[in-house]
Amino acid sequence: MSHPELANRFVEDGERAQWHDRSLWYVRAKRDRAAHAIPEWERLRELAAAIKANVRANLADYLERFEAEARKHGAVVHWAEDAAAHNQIVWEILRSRSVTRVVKSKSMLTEECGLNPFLEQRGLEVVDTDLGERIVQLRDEPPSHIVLPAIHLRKEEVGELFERELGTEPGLSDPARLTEAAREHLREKFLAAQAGITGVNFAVAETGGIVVCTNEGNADLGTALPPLHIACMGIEKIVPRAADLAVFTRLLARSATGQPITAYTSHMHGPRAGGELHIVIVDNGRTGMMARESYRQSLGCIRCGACLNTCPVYRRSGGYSYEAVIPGPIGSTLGPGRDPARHASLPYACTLCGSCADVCPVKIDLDRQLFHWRSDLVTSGLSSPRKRRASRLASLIMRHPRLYRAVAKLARVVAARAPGATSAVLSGWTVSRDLPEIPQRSFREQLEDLGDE
Amino acid sequence: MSDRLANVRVALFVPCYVDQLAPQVAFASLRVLARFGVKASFVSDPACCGQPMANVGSADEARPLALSFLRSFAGFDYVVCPSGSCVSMVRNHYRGLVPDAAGLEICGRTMELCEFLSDVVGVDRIGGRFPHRVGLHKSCHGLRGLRLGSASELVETRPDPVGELLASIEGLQLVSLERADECCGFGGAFAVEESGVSTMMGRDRVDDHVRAGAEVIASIDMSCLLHLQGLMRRRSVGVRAMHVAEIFDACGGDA
Amino acid sequence: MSDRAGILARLRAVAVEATPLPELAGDWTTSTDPAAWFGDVLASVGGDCRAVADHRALAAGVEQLCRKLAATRVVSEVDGVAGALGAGEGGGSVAPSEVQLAIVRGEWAVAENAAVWVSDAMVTERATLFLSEHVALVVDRERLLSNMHEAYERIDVAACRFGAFISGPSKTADIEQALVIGAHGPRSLTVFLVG
Repeated sequence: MSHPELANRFVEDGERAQWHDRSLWYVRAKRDRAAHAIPEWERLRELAAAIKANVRANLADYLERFEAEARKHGAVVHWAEDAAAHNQIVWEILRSRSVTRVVKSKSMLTEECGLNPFLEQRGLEVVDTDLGERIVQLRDEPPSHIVLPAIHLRKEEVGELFERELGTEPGLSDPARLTEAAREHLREKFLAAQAGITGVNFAVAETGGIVVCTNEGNADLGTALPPLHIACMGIEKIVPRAADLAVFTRLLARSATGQPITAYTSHMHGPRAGGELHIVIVDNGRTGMMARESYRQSLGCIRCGACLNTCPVYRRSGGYSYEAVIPGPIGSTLGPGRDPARHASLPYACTLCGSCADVCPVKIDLDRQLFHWRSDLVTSGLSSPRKRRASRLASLIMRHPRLYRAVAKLARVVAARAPGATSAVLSGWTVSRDLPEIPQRSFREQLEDLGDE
Repeated sequence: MSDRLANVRVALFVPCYVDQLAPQVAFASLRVLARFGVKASFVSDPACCGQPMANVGSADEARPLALSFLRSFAGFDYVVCPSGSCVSMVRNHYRGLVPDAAGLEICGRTMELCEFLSDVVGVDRIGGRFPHRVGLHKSCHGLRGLRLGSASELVETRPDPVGELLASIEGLQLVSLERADECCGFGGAFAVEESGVSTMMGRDRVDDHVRAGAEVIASIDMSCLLHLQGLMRRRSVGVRAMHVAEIFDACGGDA
Repeated sequence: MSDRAGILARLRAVAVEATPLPELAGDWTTSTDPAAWFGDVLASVGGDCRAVADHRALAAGVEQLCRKLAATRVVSEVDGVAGALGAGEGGGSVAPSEVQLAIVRGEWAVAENAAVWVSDAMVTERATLFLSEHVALVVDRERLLSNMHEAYERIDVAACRFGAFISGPSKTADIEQALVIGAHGPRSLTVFLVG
């Protein structure tokens, strides 16, 4: 289904849509307070953008350097062309060590690759340990937000889910008690796990280390207890120097949730004593994105979710209306990059208000990319034919002053004589809005009248 | 100030939807410019900058209009337009849409009305009286496209010609909104194509203004206002939508 | 072609405009009273900062904390602290999952975000930091910095297999944005600033 169809459905439940909008606006407001507390905020954004631009220009070199340094620390580095290769690599590692129980911390990359279903089909138990991710996993749903996976659910719904799945008492809806129940449930999973899978927030080329950020401490528990750690990263996660982490750790959590930093910002150089660390570096379409100049900047995304929180459309249409692994403004440019036909409605799910680009901590030109996508979709024949016809007609009229005047005059006559028919033709507008009072004469006509007098 | 501007050639660009649906805004703009000593010429064609086509992705359909715009206004020092989004189209999207050889010099000197009054004419006070509570709807293309004022997302302070000129009017009280600069949901074709979200966005903006006690919603973009006004009329909300040029004009002034 | 060679070749085939790696030196925000700043930020992220004059005061502070938490299974990795408590020094005597309070030395503290750098070198069992019900970190006041730039200048992150900036206790807001302290890890985090 297209975005408008799903969005209209979401909006129909007005009360819930309002609640969803307010929840996310609250996060945006926290982000604003955190950003405004840092006088050098804009300089940090500029630095982050400049570092990411440098990474894009030298990515092959940085990846090789990262690999070499990581190996020196005892990590095993794997490379995966696409999602299938990634899943196969992870599976081979797990199978050869007879692993059946895996705990996983949040990773949008493994969502993108469909790792969970892949491993589950092969008989493994894969437990998402981020609370929000565990909630949506138990509901057999994907995350609806990249940082707040269960933001679309109310606490009562979580209570019903936990009653069913974890055996909590009926009617429980207190977030603290629900979290406590999840803590107990997941503690068992952590202690029983044979392997931990994590994403990677940053991979440092000069040191060969990876950095993982969480608030719950779930990535740390998942890697400190089992002997095997598999870290999955897209090729774009590289930062050149450890010192660059200062810039990104200052920006990431403030942009994401308004916190000064995540509770845990863990740096791993090699496996823990007696353990194993495998790092899987994944392309899955990213080199293709690199080749398209107009969209290249989106490789700089650090997955903070700020553009989702600020997007007036995302807040009022929900993550699922995008039907993409990553929703919101960043998802609306990444989605068509993967499959333009499937995601053709996403660049239009946007008023071009530009708020996304202004909250982005790495200054991705999101609104410009979405504007550009529209043009690409028209060129490749993927935009709706109606839209193209309307544009062609409007352009024709506007290019010919006499035609413009004649058409406008005719429209005014029709509007005056047959308001019902006019309203029907403009039903997309009149569904919720009255038509303006149409002036008797246009500015241009009135000016001519004055000139004639 | 008129001396300094005596030899400056200024054109008024009246975009199609203002021409057809809000001609009073164009007249108000001319009168306000005249009040501050600017005699603007009106250039009739083209009536469209190409934004509606460009925004849906039809660059090929927008291009002839952009070229026509550049030709028509090439001989002027400034183009003034009472529509932030059209100015943003000219300034931010013509480069890349048309060949550089088409003469893009005028793009940088195509200005929104308040911006022109403030930055070029040097107006810091409109004068006159408008004893009403006014909510300023900061249109996105004016705010984030033209950088008229500080966007709430950014940690920076910029001059806000629209807000400052409104605030300079005696009796005019600017109300403070819960969401200072959220989009109203017009978005051109978006208003129709994504009517559900667009409607909710617009109603949320209206409600914010109503809660703040605004009698008037003011904006530099008539397109946002037509959307908000349509929503308000449907629900009989007793708040007026006025273009800032209309307010400047209505308050008489004393320049 | 291997996946590795393919990825690197595709990246090298794209001509991306070269841009220099920016200098990171800057006039970053600092404070004349970083301890107060640190304490305020730590409180805002759900932690608790206690300034203590010396090691004797530290021992007293830790003892008080144990009483407050009614913690009997205590592990200390800080010299001189555990002895006073009769707790297992250097871990080992209590399984990490049974620890009520772990006392660990932090190497650096950062005022702007209340983060404390803790590494493998300071803790026998990494899991202790995350499995314990409560954690107390001990940092010398002279190792308190203003911002993250100063921290990364001083810390060699690659010197240890594991190092983390820890800012407050474990937390989540995944259910209706309601902040809950103690998601998976410690339910409280106390930082003793010594000196």
